[in-house]
Amino acid sequence: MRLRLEYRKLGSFRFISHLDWLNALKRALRRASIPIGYSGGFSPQMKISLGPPLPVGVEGLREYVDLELTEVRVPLDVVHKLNEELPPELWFLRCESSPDFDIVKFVNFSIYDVFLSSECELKLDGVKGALYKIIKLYPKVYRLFLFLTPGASGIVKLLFSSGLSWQDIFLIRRLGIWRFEDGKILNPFGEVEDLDKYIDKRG
Amino acid sequence: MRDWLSLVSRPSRYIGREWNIPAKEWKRSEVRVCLAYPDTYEIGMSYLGYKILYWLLNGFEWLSAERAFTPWIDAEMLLRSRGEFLRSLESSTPLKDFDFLGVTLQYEMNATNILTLLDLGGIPIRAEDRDDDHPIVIGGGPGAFTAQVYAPFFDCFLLGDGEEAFLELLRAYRDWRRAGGKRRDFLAEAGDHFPWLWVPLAHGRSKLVRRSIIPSLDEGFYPKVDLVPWTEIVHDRVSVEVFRGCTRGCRFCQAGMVYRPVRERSLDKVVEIAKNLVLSTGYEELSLTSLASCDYSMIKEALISLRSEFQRLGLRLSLSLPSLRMDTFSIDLAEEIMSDGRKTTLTFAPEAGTQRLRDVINKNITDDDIFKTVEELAKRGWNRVKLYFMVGLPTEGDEDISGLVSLVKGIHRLGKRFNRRFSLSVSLASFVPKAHTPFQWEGQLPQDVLRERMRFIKSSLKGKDIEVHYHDVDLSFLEAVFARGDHNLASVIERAWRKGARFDGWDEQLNMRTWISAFSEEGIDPYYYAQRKISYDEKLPWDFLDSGVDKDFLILEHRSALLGRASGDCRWDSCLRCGVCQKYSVRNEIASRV
Repeated sequence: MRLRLEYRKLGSFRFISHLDWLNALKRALRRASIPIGYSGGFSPQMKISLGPPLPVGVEGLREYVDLELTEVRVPLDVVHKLNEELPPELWFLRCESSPDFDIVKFVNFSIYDVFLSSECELKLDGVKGALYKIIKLYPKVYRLFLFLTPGASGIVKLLFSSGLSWQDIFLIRRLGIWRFEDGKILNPFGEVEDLDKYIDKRG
Repeated sequence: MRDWLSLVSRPSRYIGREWNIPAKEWKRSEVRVCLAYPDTYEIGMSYLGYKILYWLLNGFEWLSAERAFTPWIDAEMLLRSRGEFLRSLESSTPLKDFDFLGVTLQYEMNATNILTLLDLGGIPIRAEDRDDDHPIVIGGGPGAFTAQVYAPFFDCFLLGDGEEAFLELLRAYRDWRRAGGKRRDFLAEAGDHFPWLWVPLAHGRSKLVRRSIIPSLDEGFYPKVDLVPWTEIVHDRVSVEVFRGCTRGCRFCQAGMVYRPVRERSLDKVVEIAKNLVLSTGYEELSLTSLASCDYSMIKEALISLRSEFQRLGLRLSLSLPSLRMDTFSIDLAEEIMSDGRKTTLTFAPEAGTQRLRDVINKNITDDDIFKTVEELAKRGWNRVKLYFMVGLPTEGDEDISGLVSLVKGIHRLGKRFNRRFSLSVSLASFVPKAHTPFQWEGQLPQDVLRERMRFIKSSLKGKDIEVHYHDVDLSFLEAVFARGDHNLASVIERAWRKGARFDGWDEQLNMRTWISAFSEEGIDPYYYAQRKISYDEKLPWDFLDSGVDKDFLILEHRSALLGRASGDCRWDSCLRCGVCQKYSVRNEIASRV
C-alpha cells in the first residue's frame, strides 16, 4: 500500500538537513511500528521517498513524503501514530493513498514567504525566468512565487544572488509546492487549488 | 530560540530537543548539573559514559542533568560578538548558573575546549577565581588519572567509575545545601570524606586519591532509553556496554590498566537493555561495546539471542562490534553480525609488525593467527580489511619496520589469492607513552624519526593498491606531552587557548606554531615531557592518583617488555598480582562462569 503524506517542518527543526530528516523519519516510523517495506539487495532500504528538499534553515508548511507499506493501514491512523513519535513542529497533517505520479516530477511551482531582518527593497532582477510573481505583504515580508528548479537550495541561492545574506533574513518559509498548469495550481494530491488565495490574502 | 543558528555551520548540532528528552522542569530541580563535553555535539553525543550519567541523574526528582558541548569556532565567535553566554541545550541556562559543571576528560587534546566551555559559560577558568556563586567544576573520565595537568581549571576530580560516586557526591551536596552550607566549604569537606575525590585547592597532591569501582555492572545503572539526535553523530547507533575493564594487558594501553578488573554484564541483561534501547529509539544499528568485545565470554550467545529476539519482534537490526580480534572465532562473529549477506570492512589492530615487537607490547597474536584469519576471511568473501599499527614502540628497530612492511604485503598477497576483490587499508599512529602503563617510563621518538619510519612504510607499500593513512605526528607529539604531564602544563594550555588554539584534536585545526610559542613563553620544554625516559625511582606526577595497579607490577611488566616476554591474561591464566583485586576487594566478573 502506497501512501502520500503531508507534513510541516517548523521552528528550530528547519535546521535539520534533508538527509538527517530522512533518518529521523525512519526512526520515528520504526518507533511507531508502521510496517514500511524494504527494497531488496545487499543493503535493503526502507521504501520512503521524500519530496523536493527544503534548504537547511527554511521552514515548510506543506511538505510531502511517500511511504510504501507492507500491510494495509487506515491512513489517518498512520498520521496519529507517527505524530506520537515526533515533535509538533514536525507533525504530519494529512495522509492519502498515493496518487499515481511521482511528487518530484509532478511539481514545478512553489510559494515562499521571506521575512527580512530590516526593511529593504527586495530586487530579484537576475532571476526573471524562475520568478512568476513577487508581492510585498508587509514592510519586511515578501511573498515569492517561483518556478522550481531542480536542486535544493534554489530559494536561498536566489536571495543571496540578489545581495542578501542570512544576516538580512529573519526567516524563509515555504508555503507549499504545486504543479502550475494553464494558470492553475495542483497540489501533490492532484487537487486544484486557488492561486489567487495566495495572491490576495495576506499572511 | 537561538536566533543565530542560520549564521553558523551545521546548525542542527545546537538545536537540542532530541527525541526522548526527559520531560522535566529543569529549572526547578534542587540540584542542577550541566554535563559539558569538551568537543563537538557529534562526538560528545557518541560517548557512552556521558549517556549513562545523563539518564542516571535525570532519574531523580531533586536532580537534573542538562548538556552542553563546545561550540564550533564560528558559533563561539558569534556568541562572543553578541556578548552571549554558552547555554545548556535543555533549558537554555548559562553554564555559570548550574550547581555543578561536569566535564569529561576523554582526550588530551580537548584541553583548550574545556577553557572555551568555562569562559563562554561565564565561569572563571581558574578555580582560585571562583566563589560561592559559581558552579563546582568537576572532572572525570580517563583524563582524571592525569588530573594534575588540568588541576587549576577544576574544583575537583572524580577518579574511576562515575555513576555511583557522582550520585553520592550530589546527594551529599544536596544535604549540605539543605543544612545551609556554602558551596566552597562543601568542596573541602567532600574532599576529606570521599576517597575518590580530589580537591586540588584543598589537598594539593598530598592526598592519595583512590579509584571508585563498581563491582558489578548488572547491579549498576544502565539507561533504558537514549536520545535520538536530529543530526548524524559519530556513533549513530545505540550501544550496550557488555563489559568494563580489560585484562589483556597490552603494555601501551592506559584503559587496559586503569579500568581493571573485567566486569561482564550477564547475557540476559545485555539482551534486555538492547531491546529497550532499540524499541525506544528506533535505531537500526546496535553496537556491543567494551574495550574488546570479542573477549566477552557470552559474545556468540549474545549475537545469536539478539538476532532471534529482533527477528521475533519483526525488526531489522544490524549489529556491530567496534574491533575484532585476529582469530577465526572473530570471523565467525563477523559472519554472525553481518546481516543480509553484506560483507563490508573488517578492522583489526595487530599494532606491531613483528612477533618480537608484539611480545614486547604484549599483544598476544602470532603471525600464524594473522595469516589464518586473513585467509579465512578472504575465502569467505570479505573484501576489505583495515589494519591498525603503531610506530615508534619501545625497542622498535629497522627490522620491525621492514617486518611490518612484509607482513602487510603478505596479508595483501594472501587476501588477493583467495579473493580477487580483496583490498587493504593500513593506518599508522605514533606510539604515545601513557601514564599508569608499563610504558610510562619510555619516551616518544623524535617527530622526524617517526615521520621517516612512516614515510618508509608508505613508500614501500606504494603501487599495491594498499591505502596507507597516518595520524598527524605533531598531534601525537602533543598528546605525549600531556599524557605524562605535570602541574606546570596548565599555564601552557591556557596560553595556547588565549592565542586561539581550539579543537586541537581536529587535524585541520591544530596549529603547531601556537603551541610551540605557548611552550616557550611559559618556559616549558615540551620535548622533555614527550621524549624523555624516566627512571623507576623518580616520583611521578600522577603517583597520588591510584588506579589500583601497583607500581611494582608496572615495573615488572616494563622489564618483561624489554626482555621480549609476553604476559598472560588473568581471566584465563593465573593472577599476575597487578594489585587491583586485593586492594579494592573486587574480582573479574565473567558472565559465562555465573
